[in-house]
Amino acid sequence: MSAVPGSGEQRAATERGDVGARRVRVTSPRRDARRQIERRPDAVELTEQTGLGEVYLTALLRAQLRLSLAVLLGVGGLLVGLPALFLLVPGAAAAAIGPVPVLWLVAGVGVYPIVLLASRLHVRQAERIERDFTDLMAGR
Amino acid sequence: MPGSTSSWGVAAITLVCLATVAVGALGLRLSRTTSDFYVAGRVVTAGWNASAIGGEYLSAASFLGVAGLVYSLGTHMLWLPVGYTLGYLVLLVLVAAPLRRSGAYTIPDFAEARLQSDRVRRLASLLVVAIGWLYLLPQFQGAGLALRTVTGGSPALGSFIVAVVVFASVAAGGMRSITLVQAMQYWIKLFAIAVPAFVLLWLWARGGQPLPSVSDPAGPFGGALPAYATREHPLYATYSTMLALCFGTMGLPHVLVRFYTNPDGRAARRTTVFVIALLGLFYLFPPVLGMLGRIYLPDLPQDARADSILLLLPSAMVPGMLGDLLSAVLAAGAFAAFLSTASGLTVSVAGVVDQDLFSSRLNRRLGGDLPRRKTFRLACVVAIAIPYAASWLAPSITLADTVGMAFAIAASTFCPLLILGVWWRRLSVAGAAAGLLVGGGLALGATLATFAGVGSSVSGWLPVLLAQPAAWTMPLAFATAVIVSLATPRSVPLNATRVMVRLHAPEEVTGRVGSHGD
Repeated sequence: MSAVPGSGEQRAATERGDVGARRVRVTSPRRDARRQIERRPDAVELTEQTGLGEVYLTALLRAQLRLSLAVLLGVGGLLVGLPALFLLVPGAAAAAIGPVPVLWLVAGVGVYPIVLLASRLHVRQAERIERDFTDLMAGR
Repeated sequence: MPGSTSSWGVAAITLVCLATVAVGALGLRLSRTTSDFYVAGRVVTAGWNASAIGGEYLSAASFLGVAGLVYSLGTHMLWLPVGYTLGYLVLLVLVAAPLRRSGAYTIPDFAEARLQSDRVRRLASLLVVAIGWLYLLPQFQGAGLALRTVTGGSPALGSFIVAVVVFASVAAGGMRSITLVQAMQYWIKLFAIAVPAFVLLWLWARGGQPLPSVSDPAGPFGGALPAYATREHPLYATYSTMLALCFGTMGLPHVLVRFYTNPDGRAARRTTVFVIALLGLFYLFPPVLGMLGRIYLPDLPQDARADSILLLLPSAMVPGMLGDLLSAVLAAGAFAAFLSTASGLTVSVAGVVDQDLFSSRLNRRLGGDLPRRKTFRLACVVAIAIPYAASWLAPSITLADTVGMAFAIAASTFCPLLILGVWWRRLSVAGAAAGLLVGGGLALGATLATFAGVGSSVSGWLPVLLAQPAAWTMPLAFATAVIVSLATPRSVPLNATRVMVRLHAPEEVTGRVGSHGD
């Protein structure tokens, strides 16, 4: 083993290479786009200096802001609406499941999963918008 | 009961304090092995990071205050923990990723990066200190209250312990905020509130006591639990408080610092989703304990505050060792809350005091070669000593209300700065400064007036407007910033577009993957 240092390593490396050759890399075109962009730092230049960059930035800002406002208004509307519902619908405030009033379940428990879902939805959409932007820049 | 001695309580509080210092020392040693502590931030996973954010965020107001307010004011107060959680949703959708991409470590850093103005930076620094001190105040008061309730020790001792432990861990750790300690504190707090809650719920279910009856259908959430103490204009107060919590979170001094440990904007978003899950989990429990308090302690014992209801409840339900033990566990969790929030705030406040208000001046006076470490420690003393002293002088406003004012000031100052800074290219230096001055001046003024006791001499709308100012101060601050910006297009920073690209474009495009602070 120690007589031929490195040979074991070499063999292992070839084996690894074989394994690698048999594997099929599954990548989305988006991933490739991302890699391309890393080789093209002039995308930075573009966004910063030219008028076209300004247009792209405005589009990105608008898309993100529209998404953010939609999430905020959705959740906000629900939370402003719930008290109104309990106030206006007769009997809603007094409704109960077993000994526990529905009102407590909604305000004390039910709200949290809704907020969590809304946040996950936002993250997914925001990342999609960013991917589209990256693709757009890579296509240049 | 206040005055009863409990060796369990002393043991539990000591344990939490020791664990904080010990893990802090361990974290320090770990971070010393890397050349640059911030590099360690890259290997911190979203889960750990989120635990740390949760650990730092859940303060005395969350641990003791929410239960106390649900106990004394009824179901309206279920809104409070919802608001604390929603603050992170608002932060997520409006500023999380751009703030991380700005590379700013503190809000004054962001102000400088976005607006290239030393003056706005100075103004933001002063506001960080004001908000930090106001937020530290109830942590010290809560510590005094908890120690007195559980062990009968003097309230002075409780706040002194917190001040000393916080100083020891922050001064030793320096500017490196220690993720490990804060993450541990979250899980201590969750355990310390969930276990007693489950035990007490089980005892309640076995005891067959009915829930407080549903009678009075007034108020924003119906009157499922009629309030003991009534407040004037509850609908306005509820909505104004919600607004402050939702929009104030992003402006708290200790929140942005934690986001810096995310490697990039995308990770900042994902971490925030984790934070929302962790906070939601925690906030299931305080209201439950507050409601159990209404069943088993229908009258608040003489000379106890509603804020201590959580600690009084176990002994009221099961006198004897089990009750003492559960009280001790809750007290340990409460101390974890004081320590983690107070050290997070102290790091931020001391950092700002040192960097922007202190260091340069001291060095100029003393010939310029004071080591950074020394001036930072001096800044720590200032950051802790002043709110500690104020916790003696300030009148006893409930913990959650005091914290609510800190949120209101943040919502009226940093929220407009951050939201307009992130989304509006035409924000000018003059506009930002005017917004900070108007929002900060009004909200601070309202807070001081409330502390000065305006509520006791006047009735009607005025005290309510002053105690919950966010609903009017925040829109005024926004309006001022926008109008002044539109009137002063010349003071819009020249590189605004370039900075906006940096804030919003994904790291792959700007080629700054994993960069820390450039």
